[in-house]
Amino acid sequence: MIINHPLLGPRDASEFVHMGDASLMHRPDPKSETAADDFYRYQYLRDNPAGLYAELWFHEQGDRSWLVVTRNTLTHEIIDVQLARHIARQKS
Amino acid sequence: MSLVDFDAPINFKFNGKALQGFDGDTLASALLRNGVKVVARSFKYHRPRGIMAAGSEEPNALVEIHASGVCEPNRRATTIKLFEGLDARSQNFVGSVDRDLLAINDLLSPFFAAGFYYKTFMWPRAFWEKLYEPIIRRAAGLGSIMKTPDPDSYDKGFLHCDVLIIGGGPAGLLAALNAGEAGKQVILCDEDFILGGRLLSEDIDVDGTPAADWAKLTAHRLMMMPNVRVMKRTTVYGVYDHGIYGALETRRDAIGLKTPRHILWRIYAKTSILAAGATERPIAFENNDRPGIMLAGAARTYANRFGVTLGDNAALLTNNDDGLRTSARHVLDVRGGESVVNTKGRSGVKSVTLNSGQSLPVDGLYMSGGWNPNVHLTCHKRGRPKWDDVLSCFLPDAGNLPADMKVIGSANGAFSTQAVFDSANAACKTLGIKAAMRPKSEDAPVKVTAFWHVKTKGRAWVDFQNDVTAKDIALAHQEGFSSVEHVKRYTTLGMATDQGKTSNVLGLAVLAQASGRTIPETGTTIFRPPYTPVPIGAFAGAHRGTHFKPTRLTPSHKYSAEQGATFVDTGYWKRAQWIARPGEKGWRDSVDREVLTTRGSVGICDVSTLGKIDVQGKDAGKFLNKVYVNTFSTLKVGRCRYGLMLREDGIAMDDGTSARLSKTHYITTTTTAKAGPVYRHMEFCRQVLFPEMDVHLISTTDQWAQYSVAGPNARKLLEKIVDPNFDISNEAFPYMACGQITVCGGTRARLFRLSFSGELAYEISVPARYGDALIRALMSAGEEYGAALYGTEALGVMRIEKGHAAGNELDGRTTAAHLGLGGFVSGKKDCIGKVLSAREGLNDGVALVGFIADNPKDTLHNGAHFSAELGKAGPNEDLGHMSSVAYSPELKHWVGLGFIAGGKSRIGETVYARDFVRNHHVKVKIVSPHFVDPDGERLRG
Amino acid sequence: MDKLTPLSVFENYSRDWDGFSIAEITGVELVSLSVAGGHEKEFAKAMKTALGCALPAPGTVVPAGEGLVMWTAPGQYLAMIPGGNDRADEELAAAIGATGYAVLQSDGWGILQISGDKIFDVLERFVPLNLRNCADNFAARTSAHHMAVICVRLLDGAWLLLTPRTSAAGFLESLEHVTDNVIG
Repeated sequence: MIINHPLLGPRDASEFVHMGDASLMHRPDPKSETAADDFYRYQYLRDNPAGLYAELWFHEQGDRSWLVVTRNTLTHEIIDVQLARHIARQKS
Repeated sequence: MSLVDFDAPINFKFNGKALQGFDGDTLASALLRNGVKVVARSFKYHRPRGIMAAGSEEPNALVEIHASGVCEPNRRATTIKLFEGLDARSQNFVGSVDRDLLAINDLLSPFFAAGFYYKTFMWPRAFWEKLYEPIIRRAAGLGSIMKTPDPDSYDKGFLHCDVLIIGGGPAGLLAALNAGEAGKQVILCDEDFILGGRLLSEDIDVDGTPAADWAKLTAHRLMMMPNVRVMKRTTVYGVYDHGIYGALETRRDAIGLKTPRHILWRIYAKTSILAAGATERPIAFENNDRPGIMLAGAARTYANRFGVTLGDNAALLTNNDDGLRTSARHVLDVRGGESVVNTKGRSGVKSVTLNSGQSLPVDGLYMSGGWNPNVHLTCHKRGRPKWDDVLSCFLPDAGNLPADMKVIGSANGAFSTQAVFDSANAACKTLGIKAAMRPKSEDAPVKVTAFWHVKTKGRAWVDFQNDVTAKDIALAHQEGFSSVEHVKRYTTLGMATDQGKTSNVLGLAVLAQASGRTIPETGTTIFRPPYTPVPIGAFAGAHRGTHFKPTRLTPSHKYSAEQGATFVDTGYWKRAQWIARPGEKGWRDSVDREVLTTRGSVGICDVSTLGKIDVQGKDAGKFLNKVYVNTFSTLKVGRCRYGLMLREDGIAMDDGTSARLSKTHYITTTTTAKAGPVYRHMEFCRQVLFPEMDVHLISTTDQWAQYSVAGPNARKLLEKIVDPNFDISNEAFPYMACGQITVCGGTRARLFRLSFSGELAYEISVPARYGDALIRALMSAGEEYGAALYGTEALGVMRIEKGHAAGNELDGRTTAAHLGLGGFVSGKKDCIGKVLSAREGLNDGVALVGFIADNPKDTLHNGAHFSAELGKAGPNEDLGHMSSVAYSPELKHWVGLGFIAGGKSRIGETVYARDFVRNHHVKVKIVSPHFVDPDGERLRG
Repeated sequence: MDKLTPLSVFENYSRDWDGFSIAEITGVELVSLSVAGGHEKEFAKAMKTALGCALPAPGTVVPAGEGLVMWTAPGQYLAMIPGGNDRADEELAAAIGATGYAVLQSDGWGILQISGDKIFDVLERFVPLNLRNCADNFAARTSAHHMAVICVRLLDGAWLLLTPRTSAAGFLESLEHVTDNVIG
């Protein structure tokens, strides 16, 4: 598998460590009244799509950036790769 | 037109007999030229078998290569390039290949029909383990496996190209020429040791010159191009995602030489062209498996390429015009109503019986049932080939090819040489690559009529290697296994080392007929990598023995080894476990001494392996508040603090100490095992969860050598090392202080007053370039105190004596409350894991306490579970488990740490520690986990 | 106490094959530099003053006086400074002030220089990157035989390979092994 790093170009997947669903980027507000339930969903409830799926990868043997990879779980085609920090900064 | 050099003889042995071949021979061609007919015994029935094909599709002629006491089994004689001294032997026989004692299986064949092992060997049950299984094991399998280490070396590599061309026959050669002339980075792979494919075996011309000459010239042109990499004896065995291909390069067949025997390549290609050619099909008729019965195309290969005289009284059975190119005395064309119904000649075909009833004496029989394009690689990404009724073969599904792959030549159903060349140029054109040449050659039309098998009550072979006949396929269908996937597994059709190259299509055609379906309705099974077998050693490459994984050595490794340390593997690290002194009889002698010396005077331990993460930034303290349960922004400069890190689900992840060197500078430590995961987690928090914070992380684990100096004389020792302008008295440098200092006349260092052992202790670190020098200086300074170098065992004993949690306690199931650190979690701030750590059910009252044996002579066992009484011990009786145990040399009895329901409220009670694995059940008392110096007086001295 | 003697990672290793050479580079300091949030422009200016170079783009290296600076991560750079000064990080920290943060990395890595016309034949058995056809100012971190490696292309065609100190002995053995396989 090849991940096209937004800054470094195509790299072999063996340089990366997989973390899981990209929804992990959106940590709930711990001060909210529904925090306990929000964190339960955040930590444990997942969709399992046959198709496009966004996931987090860590470029451990590279620049140590976290990346959000959008991949088709049926065809394995990767349609998008972004720096997680960009998405996170835009959100905050 | 032979490509064998008859001026270059090669001596080899087959089954012990000395024979001669020539440079350019395969073992198969050399055996045929020497008149060797019986080469192997078939898998189930042990029937004599000869050579049926000329390439990697060969199902019968499997041999072992022997060299200096080792043996490589299951090699096709057709793909071994003959070399001087080759010692090849038949396999799968008892006695000799010519007189195999297991040939009795052939007579018992009615009992060995498809699926026999699902119906037999079941009764009586007791016979299975002692009788049936051993017999089956001895009889099963083809080759035998060596039990000695593989003497060969292997290598792996990575290649990049614009165009990967798979197959070096006419199609691949022309495509490579075009792409090379167009300036592309090209890799051309072919499984053979000479490029040319069928051009080497057919008596045809290209542009007026013999085809083999055209191949040679073109190959030479390609090898002269700097942007073309020609790889012979290289099989592209698999297609993977995103343009990644696996290829196995075979450097030589000789065993046990110094250089790598195989190289496994991972090829990254922007686009690929599959020019893998086609494989001929046999026809199924009774006794079609005898030595001397061969595929027609193979017969032409042996005659033309290898110059072997096969015999002058052969018969040819064909359903297509291509078969008619073969020289044979008797031509039997099924399209004219002729066919073969049986053969005679156990050690070599002697006669054939025609459907007319006539018996024809022959010295060979060639069969051609048509050609199958080698579509395998187009299916590795779950493509399914499409049946073509006119060509009577499967073609790649053009709508579902692996990304960017183009298929040309006979792999795509172009069978005349002209059609092959034209398809190569056409495919190149779609890639924007101009045709470098337009060669002219024969353009015979394809004429084939489907003909699969001659129905018989006898055995007509379909899968020669797994001994599967047309009868087996019919039987499978009859018993309800009609899906092609079931038939494959029930009969084992296509499951041998040749993966059905000469049997899959024939087999499913037989199934289609037996089940009244068309071939497309019957469907195909899925082709998966590898296309041909790949040695496991090639997948390992150089990663064997000590190079299976990296080895990390600590800065004191050399010194410790000199002192006689015994090392233990901790992940990639080698850590000194204990350092035996002369006279010590076992590890307990050494470990007890190291503990007593440290607690009685001073001990030194290498703690460089613990992760060290440099944390800097305006928001460094704020950041650490988020990842630890306790507060670090309030930590004074020049002080350290213990920290507990949770996972987001509230479970303890890791612990360590953080030292504050300046307002914006902390050094955070992790346990050895968790250094990588904690760093990854911290980067996730930094980049993704809290991107607005100004904080920067980098690992400095290898950057600093760090040693623990512990014991009542620790300060005295260090005062000899630390430069005099630094005051490390108890007042100036109290427990948990830290600072940047110099040692030994100006060398930069850091000092941390931390204690894992519970003694008066420090950790001193220097840039790793001075690590070796520092350990020697410390030990030299410690000599007057009888200082002991101590290892991980003593380290473990001392932390258990103090009740400090470590990996056994932070086992991925325990929370802060379980560890007795519930009060440590700050109520004033959020941190990773805070919310879910408070969830119901997680806080069950279980907590870490200490245990001692009721009888001080008893030993304690790690992993034992606690119950209130002896007797029944099931889940309802389970109160918890023992997580760490050690013999305390100071207290002279065993001590343990463990988790028990009710935790500290049970101190004073007795329970039983139950170890059913080692049958050891001990009455234990629940006590405080702080066994030695429980008030911590030594720490602050 | 006597002054502490530093040890190089590879004990000043050097070896030649036909068309390939490996030699340890010593007396060089490595300092990792991170840009303080919001101070990108000032950091670039401070680096220009301190090291005399513009900041390298991702995947590249720039000459900096007698040393080099390479990009290692967004907002992070690795400076290679000749000199044998184990306080190079403190000096650079002073030079860049509040615009960034410096961390000493010299001791965490061993440096090997490789040269010769067979460089790429050896590297293709070792490193998954396309080094044969990369830019002249290429510098990147990847893995070789499960160990971290930073590959830096030098102006004269030689390459630097940096690898973590604690696994360096095994790294060199692996590099020698593939060289023996390729060249003999």
